[in-house]
Amino acid sequence: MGANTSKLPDQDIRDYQDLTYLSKAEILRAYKRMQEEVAKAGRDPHQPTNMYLTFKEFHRMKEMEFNPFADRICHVFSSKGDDCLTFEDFLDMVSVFSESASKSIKTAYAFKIYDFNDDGLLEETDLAELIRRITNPSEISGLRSDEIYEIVRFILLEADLDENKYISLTEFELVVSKSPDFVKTFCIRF
Amino acid sequence: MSRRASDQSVPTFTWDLPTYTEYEREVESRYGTYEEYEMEMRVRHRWPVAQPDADPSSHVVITVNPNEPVLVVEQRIPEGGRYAESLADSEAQDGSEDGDADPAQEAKKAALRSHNRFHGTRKCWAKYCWADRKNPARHSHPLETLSSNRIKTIGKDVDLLVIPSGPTHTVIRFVRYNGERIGRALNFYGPIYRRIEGYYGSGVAGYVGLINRLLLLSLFSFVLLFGLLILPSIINYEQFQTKIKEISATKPGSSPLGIEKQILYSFASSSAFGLVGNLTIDTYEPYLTKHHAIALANKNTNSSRASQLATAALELLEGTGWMEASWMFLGQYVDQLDLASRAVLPDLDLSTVGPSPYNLSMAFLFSMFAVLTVSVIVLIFSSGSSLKENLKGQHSQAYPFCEAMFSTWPHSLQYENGVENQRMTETSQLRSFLTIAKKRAAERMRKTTRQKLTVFFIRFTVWFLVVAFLDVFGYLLYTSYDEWVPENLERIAKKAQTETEQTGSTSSLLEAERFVFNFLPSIIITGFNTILPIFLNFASKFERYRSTKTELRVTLVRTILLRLASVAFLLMSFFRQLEPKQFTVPPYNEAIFTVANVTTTPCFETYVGQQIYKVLVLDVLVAVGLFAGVRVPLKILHNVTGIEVLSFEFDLSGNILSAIYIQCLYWLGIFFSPPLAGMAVLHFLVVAIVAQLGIFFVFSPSTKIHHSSGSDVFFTVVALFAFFLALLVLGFAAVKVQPSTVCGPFLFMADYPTMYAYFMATFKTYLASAGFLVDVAASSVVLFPVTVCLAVILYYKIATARAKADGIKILKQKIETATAQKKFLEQKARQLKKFS
Repeated sequence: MGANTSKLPDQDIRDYQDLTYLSKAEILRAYKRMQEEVAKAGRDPHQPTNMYLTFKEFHRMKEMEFNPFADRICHVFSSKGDDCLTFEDFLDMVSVFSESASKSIKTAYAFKIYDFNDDGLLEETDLAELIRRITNPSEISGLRSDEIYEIVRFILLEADLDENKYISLTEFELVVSKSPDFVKTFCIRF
Repeated sequence: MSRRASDQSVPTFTWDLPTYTEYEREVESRYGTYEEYEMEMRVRHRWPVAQPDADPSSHVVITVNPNEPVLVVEQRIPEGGRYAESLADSEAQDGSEDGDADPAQEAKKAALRSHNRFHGTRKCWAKYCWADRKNPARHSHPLETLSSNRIKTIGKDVDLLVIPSGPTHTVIRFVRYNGERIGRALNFYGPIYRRIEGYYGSGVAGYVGLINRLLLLSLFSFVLLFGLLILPSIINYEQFQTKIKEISATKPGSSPLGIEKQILYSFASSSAFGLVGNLTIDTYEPYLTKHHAIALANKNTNSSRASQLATAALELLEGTGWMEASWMFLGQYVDQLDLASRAVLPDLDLSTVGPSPYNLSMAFLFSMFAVLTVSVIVLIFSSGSSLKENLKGQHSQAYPFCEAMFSTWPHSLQYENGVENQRMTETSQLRSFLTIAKKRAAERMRKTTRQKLTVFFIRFTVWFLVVAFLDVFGYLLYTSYDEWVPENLERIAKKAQTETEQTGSTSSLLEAERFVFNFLPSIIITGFNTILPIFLNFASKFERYRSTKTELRVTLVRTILLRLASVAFLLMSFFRQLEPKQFTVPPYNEAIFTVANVTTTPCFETYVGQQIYKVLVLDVLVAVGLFAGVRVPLKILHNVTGIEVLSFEFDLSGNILSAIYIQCLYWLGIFFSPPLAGMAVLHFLVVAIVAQLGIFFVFSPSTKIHHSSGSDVFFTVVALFAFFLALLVLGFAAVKVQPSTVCGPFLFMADYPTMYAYFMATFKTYLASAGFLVDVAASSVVLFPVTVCLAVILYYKIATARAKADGIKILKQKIETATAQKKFLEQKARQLKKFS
């Protein structure tokens, strides 16, 4: 701890501890991490009002640099909807991606992240976009678009219980709850 | 609430509805009204206090779009100054709390507050609520999240939600915080772990985590054994030495060593043991500590310094010579003080050498018990959560596509090549799923009888070969222990003797031969463990399993079979040698004690310890050698020439299995050689370093997707199985086998046939009443009802599990019914539109 972290008042840390899944040490680490990034962006990290990250700065973080969903994560966690993360947004994200966060929270946020057009449903276009992001983008060895739509069809066959051509949050939760790997893969250590 | 851009032409039905969610209903049934609960929560968590929602303009709009079968529900909540008010409220509250604060700090705080949502408009945090931020007043708390951390129940006691304060909680917080710090300090690979995860995702990182856990476990075991057994033994021995010196100083013509020898001789020649036959005290050479070491040193004095060093190095590898005389093996752990207090010598007064206050034999049993208990706790708890997750997701086979889509992308990947590799893997996986699904969809591809027969024949042959290999392996190991090693060593010993008589020294060729034969069983074990997995991997490619998953599993099962078989064969050959009648003095322990008629088992603890030690030493050497001598050159060759075959994947499951195998050997080994726990620490460090170097520089990332939690459970089950195998063997050794009478902590204890008998007897002398209780607890009067009770509980649990499975079925049916109802509503809406 030390000079850098002393800026975060104890009362706030306690509040954050109670409101997120993070321990004190993790909160302080997140704060330090954010300060580093803010300093990298050329702002004074000791000024509380400077504690925000624009999307570009966020995307430059080493944890996010190659994450195909960095833009979605930034968008989902930005509380003002301007793709800008304040410290509390950031903490929120660290909390959700931490190992101790519950599965339902992770599921809910995964759903929001994969819902590319923000309409609260995973439709064919969302699923196709998801496939494009997690598979090989090359034209030769990557999936062809007809293959992608076939996969989408199979996914809907599996997950779309009420056969209305989209996956709702409930259906998503059901499918993900059957998958033991989800919690482990939906984790980022900051 | 779901929303969808609706068409202008779509008719809109608007009516007022209670804006309750499922959750609110749940809460209401428990706490009275939802508002009351919400207020309560707000006070507890210092959420900004909101006014009860009494705005009449709040209503729900439900739109039915006939073109698209989507039910659109929109909740409209007036935007207004509510949050500004609540902000002012909370600020006023905070202000009143610390009224006499310094104004500059106050201003700082205010700036922070205005910037952060938490003191302002923040309504909802991820832990308790993930409500839509557009409707911040309506929290849709999933119930499960409320039971996180310290809040265990969502009963009537909302008081549990109070943020604890006061001295006890300060202490708890302090302990928790510092515990975390210690945990992090002990996590040697924290940053490296993150890096590996960044490269390869959670599967490979899980392996590194496993090694870390095993490393910590062995470190803990070593500390325990060192504190409880090794250090007291050394102190005991030193005390004994000083006391003996005092006695020998008073009596002219006697040496400390002479007195020690006298004590041992008095036991060995007593009628209870009769070990020495017609040996006198001058020709008798006890197999113990200083005596042994001095005898060994005398033997080597005439050779040169270089050859002495070479011999010492060889002995380090073999665990013989000076290693045998050190504290390395159990044979040397003797309670000399106790022995001296029991001895009756005619011409010496040993009354000053009192019994030691520390009972080494009991300490040995207790420390072993502690180490094994800690091991099983670590094993079970390290995979507790993933076991639960895996049990929940048992039917994940039903959703291969969804699993591949939603839960295999590791968000922790941080490096470009890692991401690219993962993309490749995902692509190939999805494609293979697609092919399989298409095949299935296009009416299962029917195999002809001929094809079926071919596949059956191939698989049968491969399984037959595997079993045959295992048989050969067992046979080789068995004969090597039983025939080749003793016979050849005897021959070499004779030859060496004649050579020494003729030339005064033995040739180095003979030494090398002896060394090889000493290591022969270890070489066989390690060789098979290194080569057979490669063959197994190769063989499973020809078996035409439908998916790579099955192929992987089959290979895994075979490798486990091999690993367990090698441990089992090793143990079997030991027990065969422990049969008292068959056993003569092993000729390959060159400086073995001089005992005339060996009718009982000689010092088998040291012998077994040496054998396990040899296997482990060879394992370290082969692991390092294989990496530095084969993998690295091949990688360099691959980099230069670019030939694909030369690049190897990191074999995750094989590595995990070999780690478990090593741990199993250590569990067995520490019983016969306590400092092996310290060696385990070094061993796992070497394994970790080799694995990390391999992961970062040599191996290419795996093209298979590792289902981390699933395999976690699998490996934990294997580890538990290995543990219970070790436990069974150790239990057998403690309860059924007579400990050697010439060495070890149970030296010259004729009254106790086994360690367990000694334990019970000592326990009863300490605690007479508790001894009775133990007798009762171990009797069939108690054990039978307990077994019955356990069976009943087991039955109850199985029944509950079945009932829950049925419950899931019913819930599924409910969803289907709800869907049908929704469709019906849609139809009605369409009809309404037609008529209107």
